[in-house]
Amino acid sequence: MVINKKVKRTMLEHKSQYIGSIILIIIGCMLYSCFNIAMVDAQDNLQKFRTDHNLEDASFIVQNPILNLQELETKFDLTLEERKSTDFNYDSESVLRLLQSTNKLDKYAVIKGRRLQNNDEILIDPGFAKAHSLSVNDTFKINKSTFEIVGFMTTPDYVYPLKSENDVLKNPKAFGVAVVGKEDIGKIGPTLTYYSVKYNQPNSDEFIKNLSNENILIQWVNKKDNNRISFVDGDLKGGVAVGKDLPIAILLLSCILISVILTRLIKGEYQEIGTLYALGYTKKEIMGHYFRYSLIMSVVGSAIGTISGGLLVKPLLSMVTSFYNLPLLAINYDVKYIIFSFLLPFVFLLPVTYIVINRALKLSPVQLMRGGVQKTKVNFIEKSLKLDRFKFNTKFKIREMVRSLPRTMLMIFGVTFASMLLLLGFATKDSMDYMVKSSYIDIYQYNYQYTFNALQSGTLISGEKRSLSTFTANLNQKDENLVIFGVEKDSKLINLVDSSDNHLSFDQVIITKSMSDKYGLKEGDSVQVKNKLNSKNFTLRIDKIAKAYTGDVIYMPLNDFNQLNGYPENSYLQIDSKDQMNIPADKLLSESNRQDMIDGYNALLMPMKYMIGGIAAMAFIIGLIVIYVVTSLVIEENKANISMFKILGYSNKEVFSLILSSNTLLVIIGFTISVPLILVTLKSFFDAMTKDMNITIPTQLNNINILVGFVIIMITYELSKALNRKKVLNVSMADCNAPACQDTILKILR
Amino acid sequence: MLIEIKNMDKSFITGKESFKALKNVSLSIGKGEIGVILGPSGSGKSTLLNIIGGIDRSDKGSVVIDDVDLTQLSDHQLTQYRRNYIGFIFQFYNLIPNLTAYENVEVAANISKDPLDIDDVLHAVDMSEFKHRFPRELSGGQQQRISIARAIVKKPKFLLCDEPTGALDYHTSIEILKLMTEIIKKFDTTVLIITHNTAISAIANRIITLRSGEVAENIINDHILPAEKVVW
Repeated sequence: MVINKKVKRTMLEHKSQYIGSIILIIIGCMLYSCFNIAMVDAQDNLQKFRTDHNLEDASFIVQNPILNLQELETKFDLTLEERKSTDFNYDSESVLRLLQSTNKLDKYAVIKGRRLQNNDEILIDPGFAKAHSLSVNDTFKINKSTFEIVGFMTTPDYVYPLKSENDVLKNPKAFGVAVVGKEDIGKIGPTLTYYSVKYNQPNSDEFIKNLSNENILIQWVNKKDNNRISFVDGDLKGGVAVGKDLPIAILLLSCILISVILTRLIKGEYQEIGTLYALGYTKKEIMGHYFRYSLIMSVVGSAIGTISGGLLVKPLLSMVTSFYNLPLLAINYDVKYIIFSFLLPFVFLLPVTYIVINRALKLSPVQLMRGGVQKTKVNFIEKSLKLDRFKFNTKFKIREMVRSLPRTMLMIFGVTFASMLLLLGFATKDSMDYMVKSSYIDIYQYNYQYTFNALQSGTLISGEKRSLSTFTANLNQKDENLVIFGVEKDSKLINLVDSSDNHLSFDQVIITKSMSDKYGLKEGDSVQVKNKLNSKNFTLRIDKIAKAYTGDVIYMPLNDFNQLNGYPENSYLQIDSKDQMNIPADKLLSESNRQDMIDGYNALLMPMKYMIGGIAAMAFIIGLIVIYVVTSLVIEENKANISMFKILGYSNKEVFSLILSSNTLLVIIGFTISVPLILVTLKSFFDAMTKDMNITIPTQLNNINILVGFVIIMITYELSKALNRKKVLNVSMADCNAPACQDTILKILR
Repeated sequence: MLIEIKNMDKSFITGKESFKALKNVSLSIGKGEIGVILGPSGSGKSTLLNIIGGIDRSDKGSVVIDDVDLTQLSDHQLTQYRRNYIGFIFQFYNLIPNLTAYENVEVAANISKDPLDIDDVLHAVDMSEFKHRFPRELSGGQQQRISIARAIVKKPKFLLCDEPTGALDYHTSIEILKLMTEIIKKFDTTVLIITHNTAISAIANRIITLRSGEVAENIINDHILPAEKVVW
């Protein structure tokens, strides 16, 4: 139909509004297709990797070597493998953990290069290689042997390479893993022997009980409690949530924006619609014409968004797989998400468009020819305003704000959304910052921590004794794993505080805030625990809850710990020390220092800074689009007023102030609303993400970052005002003389 | 008779008050006639035209056009009636700003079963050389010519004109009236013009005067003047 020729022309005439809406649809579809395809692929890759390479169910350390592996495998219908590892000081600041290659469980996958074939060959994790500028075919010396790097690898139990399974922050500069052949591991130096197990039957309790009876269990770590294994799941889940929720929110915003634009367009064309009616056009034909606006925006937006999202899948997936040391097994462009991404804008926009058009077409041709029903009612806000005491400029701006409530709501909603997106980055950083600071840096005052591979006894010359063991407790009707630390009563190297920052002494039972939140435990509650290593049962009454956000951890006096667990008096498993100690490596299970933790955190902050920058840029674009479009709508609706102001002799500056600045308060309101909203949203996001992880991320947002966010939003607002100035200048004084205006004047004269 | 209206009433409700725009109106216009409805502002002229044009409905009475009672038609049938029977000419032309002159005529041709050739119609209204221009690039008179072309292209039985010269200066108005009378003859159309300009009634066969919604006068004009002789 010939009237459809005007669609393209109208869109080009008001291109900024339509392009803005299309960009929002593009961003929504791009995020939807990109995140959903990539994150689901990453989860599939992870699952396939775990299945193909036989991820363990648990790993453990026993005091004496297990000599009847095959017998145990048969007896309990499980897979059991002995493993060896040793920590090699690659340089003064980094440790490379050498793992013996395995045959049954946690088998390595080559990411680049080839598999081990000969002696003196090594495969290393790509993160460590990158941090230390190591390439395939490079050689380096480990003690007396020279090893050639034949490739980069990953193992299912080290996809997130942490030195300890309880750590949270990886730092490839300080720690990495490598795999060497069975013959090579022994010649490097003393090794730690541990075991990995994978069940075929749900009989872990019987197996542990059997082990405890026949041996002394020193450590038991289920895969769920091993951050090297479980962290990636939570993060990918977070990515999937981002891919589902954020695009929907952006599409909702586009929907509101487009409905406002279409409403204004249709209102402006009432007379044309009336004319078309008069000419004999049917409602269906007119409806079809106006549907084209939404259809064009949806088709262009969803096509570009879906295609660009598809193009971003590979880079995003590569980023995720390299961050987690995952092999990129396959990229599967799930057609379901491509189709959804393409159809989503239609699903959102077409019903809204129908409602908007249908509302206009309910008017009779006569009403349409007269420019619609003249509003005789004043909205309740406008009516209740008592503005007599204000100057004209203020009155005009206030009236402008309250005149069109949908426009006002769009402005507030748009600014709130853009601000939330902007603050999301800041709040994530602040929350992580707070969690790491309050859970590690503030709590652990030692510089070095040594964990022994067997219970120690006797007095110490320096440092503090600590012991630990893994337990199970029936919490929320499920057997949950937790760690109990026995701490010296007068410990100076572990500093716990309560929610009011009061220091907590270690003559009582203290649990972490993350454990309290996860299981709803309060002070005064009792928890019955069972030692996984020796099956001892006892009940603890919780005295205090400490402001610590990682781990399901209970702290209790060391003497009580030893007594309740049946361990020798004064025995311990760890030493915390301010100074480095000289302890033979063969006695140690692990060694860590506080600086590694701080470095790890700083290393983790780097990609987060890019993320914050990226999110801020997106927030800036979305904010700019919404504010620009709403401001241009204000100008469109006020053309006659602007023209009249000019005729009356107002200067351009005065007109700018009246028309362009009328939204300032709305921008401030929108931003103010966003602050509590982002904290609530982020809390539920973090809760969902960390549901299966043993950490809690407290939501925090610093005042300085709120201020920075506000400044950015105000800059966005000022920029959109500057971009709209030309539009105000272009309004001609003759606009007051337009037919519609004439008609009004004639009516008044009649 | 082509138009036969009997005892027609029409009221509007504004706020809490009801306003009777037309009261017991009866009139008739024959095929090929030019009818002019005169009356001051608020006399019900536009309301009457809208009802005859099928874009509004009467409350009472009958409106029979070419043996079809409009009061009995559904919305869809009214649309078909407008599509097949009526050509509208408006005071402010009501052209679609984003379509060229040619396309504005095409808007009507497009929905007609047997339209005239658009170029022929544009030639008839002397607008061939401006056919690629947009309405904003045309003068008021030129826009009204396009509006006439749009009305005539679908060969309507009636041409309904709402103050067709109301927004034009004298000379342009005369040109438009002249064009209209020529076109009417050429395309054998019945015309109803509403205006508050009494001088225009000189070109009409029938002159109906409305006052406060009632037919005050209904006379046959025996001294029809050619458009160029009309003076005001």
